[in-house]
Amino acid sequence: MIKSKIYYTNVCVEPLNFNTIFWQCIRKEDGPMRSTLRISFMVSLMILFVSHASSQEQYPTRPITMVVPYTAGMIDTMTRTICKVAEKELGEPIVVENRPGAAASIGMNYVLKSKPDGYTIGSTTTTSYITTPHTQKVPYNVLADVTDIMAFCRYNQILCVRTDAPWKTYEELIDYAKKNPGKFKYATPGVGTAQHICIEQIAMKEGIKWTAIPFKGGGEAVLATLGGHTDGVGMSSIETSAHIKAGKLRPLLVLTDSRLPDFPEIPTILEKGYHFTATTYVSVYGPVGLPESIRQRLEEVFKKVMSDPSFIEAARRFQIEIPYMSGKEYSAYWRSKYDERGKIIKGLGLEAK
Amino acid sequence: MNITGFFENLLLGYQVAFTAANLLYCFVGVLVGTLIGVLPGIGPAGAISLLLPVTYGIKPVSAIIMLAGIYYGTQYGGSTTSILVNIPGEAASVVTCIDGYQMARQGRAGPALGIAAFGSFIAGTVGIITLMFLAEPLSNVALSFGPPEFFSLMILALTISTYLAHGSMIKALIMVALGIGLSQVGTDIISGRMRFTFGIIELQDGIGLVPLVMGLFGISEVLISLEESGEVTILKEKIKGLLPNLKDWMDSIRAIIRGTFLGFFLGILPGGGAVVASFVSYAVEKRFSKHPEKFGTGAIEGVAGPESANNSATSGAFIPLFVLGIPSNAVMALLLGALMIHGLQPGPLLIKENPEVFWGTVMSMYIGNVMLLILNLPLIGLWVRVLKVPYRILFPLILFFCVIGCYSLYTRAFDVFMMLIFGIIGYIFRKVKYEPAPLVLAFILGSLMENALGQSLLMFGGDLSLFITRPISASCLIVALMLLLGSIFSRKGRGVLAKIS
Amino acid sequence: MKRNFLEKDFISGFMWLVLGIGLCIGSIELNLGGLRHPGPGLLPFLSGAVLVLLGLVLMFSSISKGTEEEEVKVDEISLKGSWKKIFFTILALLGYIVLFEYLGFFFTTFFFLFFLFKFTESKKWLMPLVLSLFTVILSYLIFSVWLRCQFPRGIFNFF
Repeated sequence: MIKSKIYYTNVCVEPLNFNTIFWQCIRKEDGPMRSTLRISFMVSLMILFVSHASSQEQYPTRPITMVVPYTAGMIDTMTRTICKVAEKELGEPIVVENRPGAAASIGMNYVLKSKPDGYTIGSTTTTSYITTPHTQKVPYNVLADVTDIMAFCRYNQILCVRTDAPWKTYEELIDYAKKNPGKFKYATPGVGTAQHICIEQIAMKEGIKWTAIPFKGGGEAVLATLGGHTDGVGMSSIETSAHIKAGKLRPLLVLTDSRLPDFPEIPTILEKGYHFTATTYVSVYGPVGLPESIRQRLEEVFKKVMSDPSFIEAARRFQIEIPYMSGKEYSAYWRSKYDERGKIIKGLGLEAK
Repeated sequence: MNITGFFENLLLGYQVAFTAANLLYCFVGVLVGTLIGVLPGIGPAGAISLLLPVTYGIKPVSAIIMLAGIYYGTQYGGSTTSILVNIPGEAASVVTCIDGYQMARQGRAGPALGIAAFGSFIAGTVGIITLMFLAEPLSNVALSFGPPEFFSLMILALTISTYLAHGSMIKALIMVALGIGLSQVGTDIISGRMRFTFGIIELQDGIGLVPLVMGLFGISEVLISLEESGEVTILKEKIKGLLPNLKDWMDSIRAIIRGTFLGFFLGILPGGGAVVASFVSYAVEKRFSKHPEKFGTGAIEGVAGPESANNSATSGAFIPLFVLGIPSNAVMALLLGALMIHGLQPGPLLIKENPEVFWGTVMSMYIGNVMLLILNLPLIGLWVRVLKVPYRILFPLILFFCVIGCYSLYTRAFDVFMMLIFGIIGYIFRKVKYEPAPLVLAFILGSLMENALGQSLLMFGGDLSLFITRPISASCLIVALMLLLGSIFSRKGRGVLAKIS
Repeated sequence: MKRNFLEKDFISGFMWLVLGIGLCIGSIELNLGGLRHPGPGLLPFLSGAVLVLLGLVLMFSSISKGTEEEEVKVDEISLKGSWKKIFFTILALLGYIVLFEYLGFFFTTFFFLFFLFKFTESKKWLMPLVLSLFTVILSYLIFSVWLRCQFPRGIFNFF
């Protein structure tokens, strides 16, 4: 509140100064008054230039709004954590707003349609970039309207079956699925989710047929598998690791890039020779037209925050990885996957009609 | 679980719950919960998601104690506005409006509020005791309910929902069909297709329950009351007594018992939780009552049953959370997040590795229920006096709270707009004698039922006989059929049939 | 009196008929699928069909019956002069919703409350003013400051 008062005062004082002196100079005053006025005029011009130039470097000068397009959960908490620490670096509070709905597209629309002055930014996932625009009509164009700032965490997906299931390794499962088309039923947290698409990609590559059963969210999917109503489930380690440790679920394959620290014996999908994953990053972004200097400042600050102990601890609690990707890297990353994902979605018949 | 181990756990819980700090957190939680429940519009999910960041700095157990306190506290407070001004404090208190408000108009607001408080207390306590003893076996019940069982249960609940109606059966059935139709707006889970969204992005997640309920019951109630010209008074007769008398207790005790067990069972299952439990309890009470025609005119069982059910449902909802690490409704999902944020791993090992969290919370829930009873009973006198405030001052405030509550859920003005639309629709309904209660229940059950059906059919690969060969599913369907046949062939049913033909 | 009542039920029955047909048409577009593999349109279609059926039943029963089923008093249906309060309340709510994110929580709430308080009490100025102000400040403190609700600040960026 105090800071904003100073902001208002600054804005009010400058033009007044400039205008009064300027107009006084125009009117011809005589003698010593005139030279004093000239000097004051020069000085205020200098002050004006200096403060104008430094106010650009001084971003931010007022609170920043960070829009999280999800309700309270992992992404919301990680975003809040990173913002809390970044606040101290930036010197201005970052206000986190939750605007959930329509698979994050409501929140993203809000950010992408706002002024690109660096005071409205948001966090989102890779899914919102490469999957959602294909499966539903969104009021923005991710390829054109987005400025990526940086990516700060990544969560994994595991394909699990129950411990009393007959398949002990991934190969056994594939073998079974080849011989019994359509019999293996796996639960997903929804149609078109990263795990669903990844598992279907495996099916396409292996030439097998298995049945996806969509549920409303990860909790229900895991519940159905534990209860024996579905044979397998693909969910992140956040939902499944507790059950794996308790001996109720058996992980067969890690559907993302690297092996899990808690279960290092489980192979990854890349190790099995596939060229696709269900990896999902969480990133910070802003609308197109965001000035590069502001974008870089935010990128630097958030990168610095990632080594803060509170952030690392939060990631540990959620069991997610925190690899850093600069805005440029991440932008190239997801753009390279955009078309391929679109093709697969069309192939599965999930594109927006 | 051996006896000494059990008592050790109880002692542990006692030690955790009775620290000064945790008692304070419990009190703050239930107090905030009661207030949130009283305010129409804002419900437990909204309140907990707002207060979650506040708990970051405190110990995990204390955070859970406070948040849990908010949750069951709202079930106590929600009945207050339902009874006094016919506006539900939150979705699970909708049915309490039906008979509770009539009781208030007859000057019996005190006994209504009282039986709601006592019923909630009894149900909450029994629920907690059940939670303590039977958490593990009951979690297996949750596991055994797969999509087919769920579908059959929803069918059963839908057949019961027809008992919610007071007037014309045809109009009630129309409301049910409309409710099911409305539940289909949004994204279909099974196919991923958008249905009836008319290009409006906010409708992709469907029509929200809160805007629907607050509109149909809250805004429409205000509009109806505004019709009366001149000075509006809510009370039609003088206030008679502040607590339920012996006769009230005799009438209500069976409703409380039934509501408790029904609510607890429904709370364990994912999906409706407290809301569905309250509706079903009302319908069950009406079905098994010796004087069903009294329902809708101020039958105290119509308050006692649902209020007990929604409280025990909150206790039941903790079972999947603590035993399996799986949330059964939106509030539990928030608590799950809270557990994780505080470094705890929710799952089957939570109780073993962090027993103080489970037992401490369970103990403090008991304390919380006692606090709530002590808190709510004296407040009855205060709330009853609120009725005396002139309506022209009251109604803008009521509207204001509805708007704020609705908005703060998802920070969306569209939701408030929906609430207004349903308010106008609800107002028209009431003028033409359509009852919104069956619509709300059908709305909740409709999407649950459809999802369960889709999932079941995918599971079965097209073989429909599995609905009948799976035992739990079969039993639900048989009971539903019996209820249906029973109502057709009863005397009242024969009369209705005669009228239609 | 009889005619009045008959018309209401007949009209509402007709409305359900129309709505049901609309629902059916909309759901056909969504692909009905078969009974064994229901598409996204099946249940909407069934709901629509039920609405059509029940709408027809209602229409017929209202023609042939009379006032047997319900006792509806005339004055419960007609509105008389109090429609003004309802109309302006709805208008106030609409204005509140539309302007909420544009002008911010503080101002719109104040004007909303003030308008409604003033409207129902047309003589005094002070009471509505004070009450509106008091409510807005108190709720701001409770909701925005304490509970940290996300209320829009509007173009004035004030509170």
